[in-house]
This record gives sequence, structure tokens and C-alpha cells, in this order.
Amino acid sequence: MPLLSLQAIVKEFPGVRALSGVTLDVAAGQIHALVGENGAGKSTLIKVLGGVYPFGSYEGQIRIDDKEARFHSVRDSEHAQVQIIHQELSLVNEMTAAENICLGDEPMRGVFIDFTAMRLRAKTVLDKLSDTISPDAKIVDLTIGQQQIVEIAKALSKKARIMVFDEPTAALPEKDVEVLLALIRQLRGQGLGIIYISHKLNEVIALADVITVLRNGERISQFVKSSVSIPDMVRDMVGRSLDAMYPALSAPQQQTLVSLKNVSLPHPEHPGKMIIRDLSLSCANGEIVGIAGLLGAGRTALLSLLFGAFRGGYTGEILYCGRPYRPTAPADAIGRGISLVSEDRKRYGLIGTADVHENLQISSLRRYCTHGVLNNAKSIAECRDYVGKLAIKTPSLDFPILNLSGGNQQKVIVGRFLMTAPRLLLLDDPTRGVDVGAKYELYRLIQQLAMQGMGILFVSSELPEVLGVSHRIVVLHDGRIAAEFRHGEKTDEEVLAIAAGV
Amino acid sequence: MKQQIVHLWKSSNKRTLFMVGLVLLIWIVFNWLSGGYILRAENLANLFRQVTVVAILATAMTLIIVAGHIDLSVGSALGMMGALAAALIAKMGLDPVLSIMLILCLGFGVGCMHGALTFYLNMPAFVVTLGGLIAYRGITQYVARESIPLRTPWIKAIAQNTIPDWLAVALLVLVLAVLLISILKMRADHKKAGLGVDPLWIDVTKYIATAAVMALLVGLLISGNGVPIEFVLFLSIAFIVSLIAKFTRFGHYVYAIGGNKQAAFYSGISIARNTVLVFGLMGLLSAVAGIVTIAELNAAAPDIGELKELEAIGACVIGGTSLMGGSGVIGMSVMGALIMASIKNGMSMVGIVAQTQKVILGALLVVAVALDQWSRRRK
Repeated sequence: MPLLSLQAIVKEFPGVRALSGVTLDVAAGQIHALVGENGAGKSTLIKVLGGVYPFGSYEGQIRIDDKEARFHSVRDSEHAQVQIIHQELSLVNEMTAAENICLGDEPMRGVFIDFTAMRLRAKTVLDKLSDTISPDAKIVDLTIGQQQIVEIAKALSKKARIMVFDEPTAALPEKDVEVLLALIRQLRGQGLGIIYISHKLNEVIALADVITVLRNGERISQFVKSSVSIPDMVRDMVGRSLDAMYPALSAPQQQTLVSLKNVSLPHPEHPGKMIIRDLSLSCANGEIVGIAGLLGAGRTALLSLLFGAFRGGYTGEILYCGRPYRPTAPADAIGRGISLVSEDRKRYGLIGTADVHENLQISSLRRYCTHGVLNNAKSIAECRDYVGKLAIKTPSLDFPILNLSGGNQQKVIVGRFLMTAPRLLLLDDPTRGVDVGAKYELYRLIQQLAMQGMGILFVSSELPEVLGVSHRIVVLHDGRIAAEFRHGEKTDEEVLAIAAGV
Repeated sequence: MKQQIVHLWKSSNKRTLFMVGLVLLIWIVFNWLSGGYILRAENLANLFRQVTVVAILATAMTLIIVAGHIDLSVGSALGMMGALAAALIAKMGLDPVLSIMLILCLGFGVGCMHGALTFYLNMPAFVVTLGGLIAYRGITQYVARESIPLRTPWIKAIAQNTIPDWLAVALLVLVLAVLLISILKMRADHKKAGLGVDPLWIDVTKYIATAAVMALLVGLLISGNGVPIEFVLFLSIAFIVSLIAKFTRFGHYVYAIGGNKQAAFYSGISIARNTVLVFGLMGLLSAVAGIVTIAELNAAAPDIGELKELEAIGACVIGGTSLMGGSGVIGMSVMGALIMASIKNGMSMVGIVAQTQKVILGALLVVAVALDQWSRRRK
């Protein structure tokens, strides 16, 4: 008898059937992985389990210990000892890590909150996960990776028999990933039933006992650990087999598009500390330059600098299209044909209150205006074109952007910048939270853009991706270039060692 | 030595020091400009009386703004409560204590209504309370269409009188003792839990400085006519609301909801209950402010409370409360009220007419917030 059983769950939204009768069983002491493309229904299923979509808003049954469970709210599911770590971070920025970890469940001394006990509880659970996060740190001062750790600590601090991890390692550095996976195995050993959602298929294979594949709201297949392979999973997720993970590369052009010479970037808040030291890099028209490195090596800072989004001065020289280039603001950069698709689309990309159309057209409005008046028809036509080109799954242009899946949201941001016809495209972890099928489409797109002469700087935390997609790869370590080589010249392990400074 | 001074500076609340320093600066400057009229005991006592109503309103308004809302009805609400209280007491001859109890309940109820309308009908609080602003002013103007004089001496005494000197000293000693004990206790708790504690000399210095300022102030007031009852009143209210904000679940949840409503919701916090309660608290304190107002005037007039909501919001903003929600300190809002009142008081002493005062105050508000934004950006 399974610990948790989700039976024939059906969930509909206006215009979309997110789940069509999905069944999932989790036994005690088992890790059950859930994989699927974005929009396949994974997060929806989890929200049903977590009480975010309360009883009555879906069909089917949740059974725990073979008894029906009806959750009318998030609290109900918590009382049933179900803990969920959602994909979208849910932290209060102005509060400390300790306050967030204990949010909703604060230790009390009579009528008053016991802050000492709160900090202690938080410290105890944080120490298991990381040695760099203090319980008194404000969330707004932590990096995304650290915020994710706080989110995980929050779930771990509560009593649970069933835990769900939705993309927990998306923003974590390598060493924290190992710690987390070890912790999850430990939880399994304690008899918890665990559901694990991730796009990182090799992680899934290493961790899970059972793997379920969802596609378009239906359960396609279920694999047992010993009998599964990545191509099998990908085939079921996508509905066709992908012969090559990465498209073939064409040759880059000769003419240099952008070059940085001896650029150094002092840390704006910590005097004396350098984010980037004496870096020299160039990218030619039609060339894809991949930038690898660990969290904190300076990759994002480098891209922000080129985009004019970096707060603080720098030394050194930047040449763009043969002329000196001193970016002051993104508007500047966009005007000169440089676009940045950032890693944190929630903070820097999406206009949450707007629809798909608005999010696509927003950087290109000047082109649709004649004498200051917006030509809606022209804008709609072009936006429709890009929705098709990028295979963005949305019922219409008027669909609220926040209702799209993570991967499709990302595609919209990419589309927005492609519409500005950039000559240099800066990509910062563009496939974060994007599923396999969509990733392949993005790689093909990047390849096509390069063939058309666009220069591309491609930053990613997924090594296989950087190595597979780029013509030339540069490895950053502690603000410096530690290695530079061409496609195919080094293996994953070699690059990882260089990035770690070994 | 330098490193330790830096440590002291960092561990103090920079904003507190800045605000206190600013108030003192304002007093000193105007004292000099007016030929010594500000730092007199009688003037300071008057100043504290003048700031009472806005300070009381600012305490609850801080929580409203922290929750991500605004309450524009506060001035009219306090007018309505004051007028109704006066009507009950002076016109209908109802027992004053009972009347005040009733009005406080009414205030709480009206506030809860604002919260309920805001949450359940999913309307911006701006709109709900704007309606209140207009409607309650109408009620005030009707009930107090002819000013209602009060004939209950002890109500007038709340505003006019001072507490006996021995009581003032006793309260001061009590407050300082409680402060000392709580600091010591916190240090002990933290040490026992293995959490870090500031070096002893830092806490000692902060304590001595605080005690000195408080003692000086009380001493100065005693040397005049004594410590006004209103002074004790608004400080007590500020203290209680601060306790609620920091140490109760309700207060904590208000900050969480204002900081990230979704995170609060996912953590099992009831947005409904806390929204209704925070507006209820505001309503309750508006009622208190209304009673204090009619005590000050010893009557209810049709225009009482006019523009008080804006003064309260201004006080919160000067005190550093973010209009985006999620952050704000009650004590700082009260300091903000004190700053505004001190500037008004100073300008009056120097002979600037009321019309010019308004222009200056408006400009100062914008400057204060601009400075605040600039200093935030530098962080």
C-alpha cells in the first residue's frame, strides 16, 4: 500500500486542460521522480497536492495511507505532513532567513514570538545545508542559490512524511547540489516518500527509484531505476527521439564584433575586491563564445557590463564594431544592437502584470510607431511571427505572461530581444527552468542566429550545454580567464577542474 | 579603537541615531533663531501635546503601509468618533467612560469594515478609505454642526494636565529598569543558545546614552510644569503597538504579507484575518485620536481631524516606512511626527505665518524622502 496515491487527477483552467487523469503512487522510503517538458503538468500536479488548488477545484482523489485526503488550503496539506518546495521562490525579501524559515510556524513564548528560539531553529537546519548563510541575513542580500537553500531549509524544518522538491538544484552551485542530494537520500532512509522534479536528467537517474514521465497533462510512462536511460526518457517527454542533443556548428566569420582588452571590474560594494581581473576576450560575427565557470566567477557581471546594466565603474577598453564602446544604460546597449537575456527572468525580464503581446513588443515600440502613434496591427503580426518561430506555447497573444510555464516565459523574453534585431546577443543561463524539447529548439535557434551573422556570448552553468553549443569556450575562475579552447578540445571533467581552480 | 567605534556605529540603528540627531538639531537651530524660546520646558511640553494626535495615528498607519495598503479615512474617522463621543457625553448625558468605550468599539468596527471591504471585494484600500474620508466628514459635519462643548472636567484634563512629578520619576525609573533587564536577559538567552552577542561595552554605551537622553528630557519637563499626560499617552501607545508589531504573530504576519503576499499565503498565513485586523487597529487608534482631539479642544467642531491622515502618512514616510510595503518601524514614524511638529513649532516661534509654514513643510517632506531614497541607493 503506497504512502501517497494521486488518482486520476484532472485540472482545468479556462482554455487549458493542464492535467488529464494523472495517477502517481509514492511509497514510504522511496524517491519518485517526475519529468516532463514545461507545460506537461508537473507543477500543476504538485499544486493540487499542496492545497494551492484546493479540494473542489480539481477532479480525482488524493489518498494518504489509503484514506482520502481533502485539502482546502495550504495549511491542510501541511497538517497532513506534506511539505512542498515550489519552483518559484516564496520568500519575504525584507525579512531574515530565520524569519522566513519559521514563517507561519513561529516559536512562541506565551503571546509573543520567541526570536531566540527562532534563530536557533533556523541555525540548526541551515548548518546542515550550508556554512555560508547566517540566520540573520536578509533574503534580499543573498544570492539566488542561497535563497533556494533557505527555501529548502524551511521545508526541512517542518515535520513531513511526504516531501516534494520542484527543481531544487536549478540555481545551486555544484557542491551545494551534492549536499542536497545526500540529504534527500538521508530523508528517504528515514522513511519519507519523496517526489523529485528536475530537468537535469542525469541527476534524476542518479537519485530516483521510480521515474514517471508526463507529457501534455498525461502520464506517458513509468520507469524503474535499473531499466531507464536518458534517450528513453527524452523520447517520452518530447514524443519523438532527438538524434543529436546539440545541432551541428557552422563556421564563424572572421570579422571581430566585440573585443574587451584588459578589463577589470572592481566590486562596487567591497572596495579592494575585484569581480573581473584584467580580462581580454573577443567575439566575431557569427561566432558563439561560451563562458563557463562557477557561481561567482564573474560571468554574469561580464554580461551586465556589456549591456550597460552594471552599477559601478570599470577599467580597460571595449571595442564594438571597431569603435570604442562605453555602455551607460541598457537603452544605450539595445540601441547599438546589444541584447541581454538575463538569468533571473522574474526580476529582470517579465512584466508580470502584462500579457504575452506586451512582453514581446515592449522593446520594439519605436518600430511600430508612425508619428508617435502605435500601429497595433503591425505589432501583432510580428509578435505572432515570433511566437511561431520560437514555438511558444500560449493559447493567444492576450494570455497573461505569468500563466505560461517557465520555459515558455523564457522564450518570450528571448523573442522580445530578437525583435530588436541585435548584432550581439548576450545569453545568461537562457535554458534555466526549460525542458529538454524547448532547450533543443533554443540551441537550434542560437545556431541559426549565428549563421545569420549574430555574435553570441553564451553563459551557462550546465557544462555539457556550453561545451556542446559554442564554437569557442572560455573558462572563468575568480574573475580571470583560466582557459580558452575550441569546441571538442576538452571534456566536461577537465573543464570542471579548471573552473574549480584545481 | 577605531575598529570598535566602527563596530558600535554598525550595530546601532543608524536611522535611530540620525532621527534623534535631527530632532535635536532642529530644536537647537530654532532655539537660536527664536532667541531661546524652544528649549524651554513649557514650550517642549506644548510641543509634545501638539504632536500627540499625529503620533498616535502614525503608529497604526505604519502597519497599514507596511501591509501594502493606505488609509485615507483616518482624519475624517477621528472627527466622526470625536463628534459622536461629544454628542453622547455632552448632549445625551451618557456616562463618559461608557461613551468612550462605545466609541472605541465603533472605531475598531469601522476599521474592520475597511479591511473586510478591501480584502473580500478585492478593492484597493485607497478607494475604500477614500469613500470613508468623504462619508465620515459628512457625518462629522452633521453631528457637530453646531460645536458641542464638553462639560466633563477630567476629559479636558487628559489634554491639559501633567502627571505628578513623583509619578514621572517613578515611570522613568521603571522604564529604565525594564530596559536594563531585557537587555541582560537577551544577552543571557543568546549566550545560552550559542548565538553571537555584541561586546558588553557596546550595549552598556547604548544604554547609558539612551538613559541620559530620557533622564534629561524628563528632568527638563519636570523643571517646568511637569510631564504632560499626553506625552505619557502617546509614548505608551507607541510602545504597545511596537510590541505588537515585533513580537506578536499578527504583527509579524503584517510584515510578511506586505513583503511578499504569495510567500505569506504559501506559508499558511491568513491574509483575510490579518488584513481585517490591521485596519481594525487603525480604526481603534483613530477613535483614540478622536477622543484626544475633543479633549484638547474641550469641544467637538465640524472640522476636527481635517488633513490628519496626510500628516500621519507624512510622518511614516519621513520615518523611513517604504510605500511599497514590507518595511517600516513604529518608533521611527513617531520620530517623523516629532520632526514635523518640531519644525512647525519652531517656525511659529520664529514668527513665520501659517500659510508659509505649509509651503515649507510640503517642500521639506519631498526633500526628506528624496534624501532617504538617495541613501538607500547608495547601499
